[in-house]
Amino acid sequence: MTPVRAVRAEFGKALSLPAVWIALAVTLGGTAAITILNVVFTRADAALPAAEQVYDASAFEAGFAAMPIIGVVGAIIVGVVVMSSEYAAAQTEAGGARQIATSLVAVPRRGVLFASKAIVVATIVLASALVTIPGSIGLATLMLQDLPTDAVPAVDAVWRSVGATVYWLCMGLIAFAITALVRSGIVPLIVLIANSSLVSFTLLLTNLTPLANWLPDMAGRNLFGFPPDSVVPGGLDAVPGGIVMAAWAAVLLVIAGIVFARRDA
Amino acid sequence: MSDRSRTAAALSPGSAPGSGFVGAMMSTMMSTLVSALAAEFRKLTTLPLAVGSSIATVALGGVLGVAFALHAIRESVPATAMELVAAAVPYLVVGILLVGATPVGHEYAGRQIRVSITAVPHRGVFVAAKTAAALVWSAGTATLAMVANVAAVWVIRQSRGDAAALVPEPDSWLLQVLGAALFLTLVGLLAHAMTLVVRHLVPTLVIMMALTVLLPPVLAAFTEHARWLPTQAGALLFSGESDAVLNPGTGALVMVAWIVVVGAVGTVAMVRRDV
Repeated sequence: MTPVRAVRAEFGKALSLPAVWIALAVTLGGTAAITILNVVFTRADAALPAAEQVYDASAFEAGFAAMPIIGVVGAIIVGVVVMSSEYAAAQTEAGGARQIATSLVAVPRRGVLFASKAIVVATIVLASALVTIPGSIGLATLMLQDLPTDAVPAVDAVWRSVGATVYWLCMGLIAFAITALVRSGIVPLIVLIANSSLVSFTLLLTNLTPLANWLPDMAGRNLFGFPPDSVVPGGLDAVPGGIVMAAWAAVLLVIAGIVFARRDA
Repeated sequence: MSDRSRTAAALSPGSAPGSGFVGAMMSTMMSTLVSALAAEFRKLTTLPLAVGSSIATVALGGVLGVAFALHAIRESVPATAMELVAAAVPYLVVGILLVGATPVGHEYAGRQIRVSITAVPHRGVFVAAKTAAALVWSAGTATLAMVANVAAVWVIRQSRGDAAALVPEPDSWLLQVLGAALFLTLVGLLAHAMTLVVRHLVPTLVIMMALTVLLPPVLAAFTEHARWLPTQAGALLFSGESDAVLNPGTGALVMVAWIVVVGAVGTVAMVRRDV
């Protein structure tokens, strides 16, 4: 099978997984729901006298607040299930086998199969980011049209959106690579989702050693560019952090690719 | 079969035929339940996922105790040992979710569910045995994890800290530690109940992670009604914090209500639907 056909086949497989559609629905619907809640609170806040206001009125912040949690979880689910579905046992009626055996018969060149899957994960995550991030910000802007000028300059808004997209992309690929290494979706899913929440093991580790700031999710956390008073301070700056995170994703993909190509399925 | 008739004979010597028959039925049911329960425990002890997730959760309890205690000493944070213990509990939730979801989830990882309900055709008995196994397994893991956590905090504080400078513990610390173990047990049971509904491990874990870890902080920022979420209500068992509406007892009841509702849906589904 040519690489192009392998990629097309992987798209077909990924888009036939219910979990992928649920992840996309959660990404889009969850960010929209949080955006609407944020708009309500921003509006209530802006109605107060200036001295009592908590936020600088910003449609961008209202639309962007969900990005570090919901979208990241969506990217993790996509990255994990595209690989873990290959290793799940089929129903007894279908022989109870794992799909990976069939996939390798269809695409015997393992490097091609692995790369096709990685391309599919990257494309789906990228597409969900391109719809969700501008969509949420647009929704908030529409709903807050009558408020005074946005506290976040347009240039910042664009760069922070790019940063969030990079973070989603790297996280999806890291989840994919780890799942390929362990051949099961359960542990990568639990650990990575927990790490995206307030119950973050890597964040806890940064309390014990500053080296933990170089771990992938911690390195990239300033890509979202939130004002320093609204997040846990510290960590690498956005650009070096993004590079470190991308390097993690690349290294893990290479290791997982080599293991995938050489190990008995 | 011969066991059943012997039990029936032993229970109805000379009594009225009706009550003897009912008694025999009850007794048969009980002995089936006991055998089913024994079988479920045997399964769990042979499952790498069940044993591994339990050991990992207990180990995590110890590691978190060391981490929080060292951090408090290094940064000179004046914290009671109980505060350090309470800080670790939300992390342990992640482990106990897997522990609670495994007994039913593993049945659907392959073809085992068919074998299991062939061996125990009475679905109600099957669900009861599974639930009892999940409860005991979760409670054991939760208790050991809290013991490991408290022991780790205590050892680190004794060996590294200036004991005299420490803040006195709240009088209720033992109750709070027991409350933490109960809280984790209930989280495991809720994960079990959700698995009865959803059946497969991965989607169950995603739903439970959303319900217990992702949503509460987000919703709590917007509305006070977030207190009715299971982990928000149950956390009053150990956090030592107060809430305008709930107290530790009613907080636990809210959690139990979640388990009963989700578990009832799951039980009906397990009994009535095709495998």
